Amino acid sequence: MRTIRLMSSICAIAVLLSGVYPAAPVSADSAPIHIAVITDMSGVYSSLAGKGSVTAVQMAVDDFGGKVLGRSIVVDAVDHRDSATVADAKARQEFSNGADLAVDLTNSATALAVSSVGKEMHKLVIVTGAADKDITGKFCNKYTYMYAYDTYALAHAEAIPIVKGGDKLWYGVAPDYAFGHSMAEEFTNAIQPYGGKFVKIDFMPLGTTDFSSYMLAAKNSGAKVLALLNAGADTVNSMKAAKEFGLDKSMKIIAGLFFTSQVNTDPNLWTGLKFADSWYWDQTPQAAAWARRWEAKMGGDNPPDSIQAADYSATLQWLKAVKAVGSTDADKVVGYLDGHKFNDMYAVNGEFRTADHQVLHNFYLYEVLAPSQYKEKNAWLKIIGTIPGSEAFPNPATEGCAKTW
Amino acid sequence: MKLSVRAGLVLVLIAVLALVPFIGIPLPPLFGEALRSPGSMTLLAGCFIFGALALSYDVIFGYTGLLSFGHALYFAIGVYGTAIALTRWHWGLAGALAFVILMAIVLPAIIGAVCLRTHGIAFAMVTLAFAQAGSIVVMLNPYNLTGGEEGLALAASVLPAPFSGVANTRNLYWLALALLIFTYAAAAWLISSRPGRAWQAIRENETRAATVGLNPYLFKLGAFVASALLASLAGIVYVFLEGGAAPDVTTANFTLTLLVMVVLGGVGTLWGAVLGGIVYEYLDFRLVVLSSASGVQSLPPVLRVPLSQPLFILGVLFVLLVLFVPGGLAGAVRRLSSSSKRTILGGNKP
Amino acid sequence: MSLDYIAAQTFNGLASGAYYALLALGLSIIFGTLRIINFAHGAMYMLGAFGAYYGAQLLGLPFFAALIVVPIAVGILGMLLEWLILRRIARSDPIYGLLLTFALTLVIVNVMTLLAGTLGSPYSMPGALSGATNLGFTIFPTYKLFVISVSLAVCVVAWLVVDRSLLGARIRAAIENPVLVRAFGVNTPRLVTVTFGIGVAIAALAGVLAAPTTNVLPTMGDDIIIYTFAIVVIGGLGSITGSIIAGFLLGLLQAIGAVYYPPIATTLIFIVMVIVIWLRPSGLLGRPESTR
Repeated sequence: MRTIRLMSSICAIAVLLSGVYPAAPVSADSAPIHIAVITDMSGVYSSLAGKGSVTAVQMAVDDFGGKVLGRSIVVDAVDHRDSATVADAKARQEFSNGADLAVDLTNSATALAVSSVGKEMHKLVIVTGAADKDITGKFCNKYTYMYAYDTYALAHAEAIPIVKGGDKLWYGVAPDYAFGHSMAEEFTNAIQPYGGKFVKIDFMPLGTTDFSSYMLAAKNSGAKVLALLNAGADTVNSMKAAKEFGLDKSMKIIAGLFFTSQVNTDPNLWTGLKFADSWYWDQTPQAAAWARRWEAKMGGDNPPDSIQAADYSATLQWLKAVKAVGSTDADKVVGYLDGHKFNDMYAVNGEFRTADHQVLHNFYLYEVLAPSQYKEKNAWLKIIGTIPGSEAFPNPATEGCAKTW
Repeated sequence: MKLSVRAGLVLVLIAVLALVPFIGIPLPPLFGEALRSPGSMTLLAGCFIFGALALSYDVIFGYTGLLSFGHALYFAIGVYGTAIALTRWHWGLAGALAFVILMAIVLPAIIGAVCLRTHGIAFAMVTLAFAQAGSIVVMLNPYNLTGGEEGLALAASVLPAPFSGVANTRNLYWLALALLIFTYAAAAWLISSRPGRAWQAIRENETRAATVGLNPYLFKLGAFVASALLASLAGIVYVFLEGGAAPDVTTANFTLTLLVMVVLGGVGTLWGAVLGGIVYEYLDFRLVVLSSASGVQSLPPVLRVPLSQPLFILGVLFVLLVLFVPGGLAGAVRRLSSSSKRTILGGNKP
Repeated sequence: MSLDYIAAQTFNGLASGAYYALLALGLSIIFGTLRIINFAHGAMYMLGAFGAYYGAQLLGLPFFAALIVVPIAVGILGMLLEWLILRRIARSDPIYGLLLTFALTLVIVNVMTLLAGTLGSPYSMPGALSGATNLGFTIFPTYKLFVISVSLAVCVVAWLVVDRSLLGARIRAAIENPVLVRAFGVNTPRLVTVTFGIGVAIAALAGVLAAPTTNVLPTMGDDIIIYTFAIVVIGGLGSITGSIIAGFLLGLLQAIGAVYYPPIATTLIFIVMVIVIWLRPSGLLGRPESTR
């Protein structure tokens, strides 16, 4: 009896607590506008996006005034748990409950899933956190914009300046699945026109934590550039292994996908690394001011990264578009956004490209400074190259996007 | 309970569940919106599918006593087999289903033949090895069949018309309900049949079963294949519900989730496994909503932070469950109605 | 491929085998003596690595001190867990042990995620061990040589204790026939708790050794636990020697496999396991009755 009471009380409490839930909207015209931030709130990417992305979107809503078209704006935080099936279900739920915009989508599988939901339900999806260039290629659709970066941009912004500088022999390590192969292909294509080539690219199985064998092979290969064509924990593990074998002294090391907030996890480890990104918190006074406001809201002293800044910018641009066309209807908003040029805290020379729904903006190559060289706290990077959006992002003519709008 | 009363109650329950798509009453604490909304029906359909899947696992684990760590593989065969046959090979529905059912019999027969040479933890590990192999094959995306980590979406044109589109969610709901009823009936029939009683004898004491003339190896193989087939059927319905296949159904974590469901509901009872599957899937979905609900966000950090982590809540609940209610929900209810022995693998009627 | 290169890759393999051996050793001790399938073993490894990190951050604990302090601390935590929670299910079906340790893993990993985030915590290589040593036939990172030595030393000591010492004999006897052993005045429950603590402490030691060269994440134990189980099965359940040998052997095979055909590196352990099980169901050095 006692245990039944225990179990029943646990269940009852859970049920009661879940009843603390916002009431459903009353009528469509005065109902609040919902923006769904579909992101990774609890898993591998939660530090890169997650709560920080939700905060960024909320800041955009607040800066815009909290209302548009006489309706208040509500930001819904949605955890996709890095699962395409969960993302699909949650997106459907949000859209059928009245959400007009899904933003963030960190993790390519979830981005693709939600993009097709948006296409089916005629709702706008702005992807800031995924890297798959097929989202503006063979999977392009009228209702999805790719806002921040993709594997093509990363490859071109990083590889070209270095291979132009004379380092033609490269060695790569990549994870053996879609992302890794995509990065390998992009980088190979990027350096080839300049005479660069990969001596070898090691594709390692998912879950490899020990990169020693590959680093040793890289050392023996005679290559001058080590390309870590991976992300997240893999980059950390391969960098640690590279330094163990002294590769940082004999080769240039670049990271395929690296976010600025990762530097803080181990500043000494990353000194000397070169990588590309669309935004860095300290690159303009405007950006720095926004970053400080974001830090204040988040508590702690880690600055935002480019995904979170892109979320802010995307939300702001969408709200402006909604106001301009007088409606949240996706078709009308797309009509306004296509071809629209803009500049803000995040995007320099920004443009919503009509041909493939890629949002263009400047892309940058950074180098990580040694901690002794920081001018102020967290000022880890220096810009060593700027690439205009039209060069950084894929060419719509060759991308394979079947434009149907 | 007398059999006729029980049967009557079951029929009433089925009737109520079948009528859910017509119920417009909102139930805010349990569901965010009306029962007949697509969101709620999708959630319930998912719960039914996991109930059926938990049932299939209970057949091999609860009734035959085989701890398999690789059951997810057979669910994945249903999910990916259907998706690949329909989308990549452009087969018709009948052909695709026949293919999946064939794979769901042949593959576990071969894998089971190898794995069943071992016992106990070694058996668990070997089944895990095969499931891991399956997971790796899916991620490697050979010949672009599986879609790798991005999964494989069912093209809209291949979905049978009654099941495509948001408006037809109720048909998917009924399909999932039908699957659950079918799986339950099949499992109940299996375990009360002669092979089923042999399985339970093997679970109790394999050596003794061998001495009375049963060939444990063959019967265990039969249980292995039967439970795999049921799991694949659940996979077929799942891929229709989700509109595609994703690699998270092939992971070891997924099988462990099944184990949790069955233990939650009560190992060795059929309706316990169903209950475990439904409750777990429901909690899994709703706890995330709970954790981001405005009420929780305004709690002081010491309460809010743990409650915002659904896996933490599940982990703690599970620890409490194993410690204090080892018979699962079914065991707790049974103890209410009668006094029975406190074991986790007891010989129980469905 | 030069001899230099092959030799270096061989040592690489021994270095990764060193971790596997330590983890398999701890798991085997716990299973062989307590009949508990410790799913939380990977979490203990992770706690070892985090122990080193927090020790350095909060107490300025240097690496060499952490090698001793952290395993003891995690060992004590393990003993507490055994005494408070695991003991309650000692008389029940072994499946309880597995489920409970699995649930404990969920809780522990989640708590660490809340505390430490998912980006990884930095831990630098101790200065004295960085750089490379000239072995004559190859030049090899000093730290890896250190790891191999520590692992071998611990494995040899553990084997001596369990197989040759009075303590080991008592442990083994206590599992065979606890009632009789208690009649001889040996405090069986305490023995069980201590043994669990030792097994867990060895896992934590592996974690401390891993911290300088691996990303310290709350989920770092999740993947390695599966391989550890496979290695214990290959070595033979209940055989300490088997686990040690299998650990080093598989590390070696993996490194060599990575050189010739990378995609096979992680599946190799499973392939070997299936082959070994087919030929010898109780593992390389296991005793047949210990697999039930």
